[in-house]
Amino acid sequence: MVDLTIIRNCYSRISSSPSHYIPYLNVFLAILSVYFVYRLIFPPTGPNGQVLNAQQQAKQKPQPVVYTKFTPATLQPFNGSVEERVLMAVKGKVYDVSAGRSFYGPGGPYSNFAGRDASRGLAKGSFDEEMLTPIDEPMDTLEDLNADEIQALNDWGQHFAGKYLLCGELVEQL
Amino acid sequence: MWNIPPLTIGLTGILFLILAYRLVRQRYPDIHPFALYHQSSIAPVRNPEQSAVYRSTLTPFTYPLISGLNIREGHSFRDGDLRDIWNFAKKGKLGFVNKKGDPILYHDYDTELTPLLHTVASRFNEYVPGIKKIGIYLPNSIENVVTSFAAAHYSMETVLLPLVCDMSEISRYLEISQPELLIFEAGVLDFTQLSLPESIQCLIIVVPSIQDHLEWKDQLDEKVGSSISVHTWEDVVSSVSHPATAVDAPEGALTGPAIIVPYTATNGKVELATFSHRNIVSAVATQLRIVPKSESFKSTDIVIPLDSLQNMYTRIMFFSALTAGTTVVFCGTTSEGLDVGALQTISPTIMIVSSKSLYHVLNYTPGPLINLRLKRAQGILTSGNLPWPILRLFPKLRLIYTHDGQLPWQRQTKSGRADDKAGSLTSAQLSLLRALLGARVVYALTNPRIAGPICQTHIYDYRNLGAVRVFGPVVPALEAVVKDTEHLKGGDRQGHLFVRGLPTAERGWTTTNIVGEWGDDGCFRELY
Repeated sequence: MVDLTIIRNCYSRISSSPSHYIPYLNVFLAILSVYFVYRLIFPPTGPNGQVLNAQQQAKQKPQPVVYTKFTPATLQPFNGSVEERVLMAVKGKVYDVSAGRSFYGPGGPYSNFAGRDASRGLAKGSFDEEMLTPIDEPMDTLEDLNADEIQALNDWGQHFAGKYLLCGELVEQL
Repeated sequence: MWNIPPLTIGLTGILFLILAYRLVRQRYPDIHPFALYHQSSIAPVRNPEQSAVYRSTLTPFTYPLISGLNIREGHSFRDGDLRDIWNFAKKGKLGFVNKKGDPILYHDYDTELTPLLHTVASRFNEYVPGIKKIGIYLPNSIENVVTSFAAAHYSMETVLLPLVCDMSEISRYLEISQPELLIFEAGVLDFTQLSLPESIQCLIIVVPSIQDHLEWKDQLDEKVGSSISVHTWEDVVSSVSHPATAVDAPEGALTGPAIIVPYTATNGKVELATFSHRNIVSAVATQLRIVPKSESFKSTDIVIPLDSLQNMYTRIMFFSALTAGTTVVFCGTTSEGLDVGALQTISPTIMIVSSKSLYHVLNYTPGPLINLRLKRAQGILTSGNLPWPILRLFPKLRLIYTHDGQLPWQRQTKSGRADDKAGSLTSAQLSLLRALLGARVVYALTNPRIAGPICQTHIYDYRNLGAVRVFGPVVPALEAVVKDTEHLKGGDRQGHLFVRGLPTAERGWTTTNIVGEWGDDGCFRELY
């Protein structure tokens, strides 16, 4: 015969144990109820999580970039590897083409144009190095282009104006 | 066994009931907090030494700014002019309370006001042939409304003289604006001190009916000499049914100036702001678009303009109320106090009031119960809802349009003390007003050169940002930048406010003499 007293003792301890905690539980429940009623009457006056989140997002909004005048030399670093932003000049206007990084950024098919005056290359439909005017030479006047090439260049200009952010202009000297 | 005492069961039950009640009664905020922290549409590029261009999110970049009322005519839309506003107003009612406690006296547009308007125009033309400019120095009265609309219908210009008591100031305003006819209330102008410009050929006195015996006309005749004819309003309207000489009303769009407002500029010089019909109509259309349909002026609304109609902001708001076909009630007084007793009989739903008058409400008597209710109201406001009114002054009031009723030069002399009694309302005070009156408050930044507000609080923006003067984003008819000043340099968000758009009197970027900054939330804050 197994002696059941130990088990019974154990059981009675467990079964009677809530009664020890009941008063504490009552106090806890009462406090919780009062707190919830208080919050119902007086909603919190501090900002809630949603508001804090919105505030945080508002702070992190991108800052507007300053419209800048570039010379060929100051534009060159904006090729995506020296500076983060990728800029490109078309017909004297500088566009921020960072959104098209895969095309114009380092390693992209048009990466030659990044940080440079791309007008001649776009007009002639060539992405070669020789289309670019060296940095230390005067800016390309584009006077020798024929009508078709001018047309092509204008189309490209419109394409960039519609797609990318105009953020400056290219000048010979500041 | 587990015998749980009934007290515990009861408490648990109560707790669950409370939680269930919270869940059921949970209200969503009137607007998502994200929208409150992105109130402006900001240009991605800015010029050096100035901020980016800020616009309303209603008219972001690539969208046209609001230009007019978009009145459909066949297959096209037109902006409209003041005559269209008058036509829209006919859907509503126009009422006047002559003195405290009187019932509202409604005037009918078709049978009374419109014939009156044509008579007035013909009579003015009879007194001064080929009249072009009418000076108005009147309180908010039927004469004021009719005269200004008569002028608009017959392409005359209205000069709104601010209701100041200083006669030398009025003289300067008259001198620069050169009206040909001046209409004023008997007894308010002192002709011994007032110097009339040579352009004035006719004076019209509006004599309140109780002062008929005072012979204002005869007194004036002696003072002004024979070159100026003097008439009373009674003379003008005596033959409402058959005007002596009919003048031709212009056809087609009105392009000329409509309203001229003289004001004292920052440097103390008196200047003129000339508003064309287009300027006014764009400002009016803005007010009708900027507030969601459910909150905007409705035909069931009773609107009371408490500020003087001589003020361009109040006039634009009045025109907006007319255009929406609301019931507009004038209660005579344009004083700075708030005569609660007189207003309660009208039970307005929308009030157009100067910030000075609202100080009257802020001077409530605090008590323990009111403080507790304020605490609750502020909690509700924080969660993005509107509480019940604490002071039950106007039980039906739902919207208060208020503006900073000061000229910028007056504002600049005050050294940035936000709690200054005579200064403008702070964000905390606006929040308190919302809690006390249980109404939404739209606070506008104004300038004499611009019709209607420059910036105004979003109608659902109940945030309490403390003792700063926060105005909302720029209105959808304007775009704005702040430019560096002598003292504020380098920052791309602080500086001198410039605006551009149709409501400005001059074309191009207009300076406002207001120095402020753009917050992270896209709202304009006035600095000093």
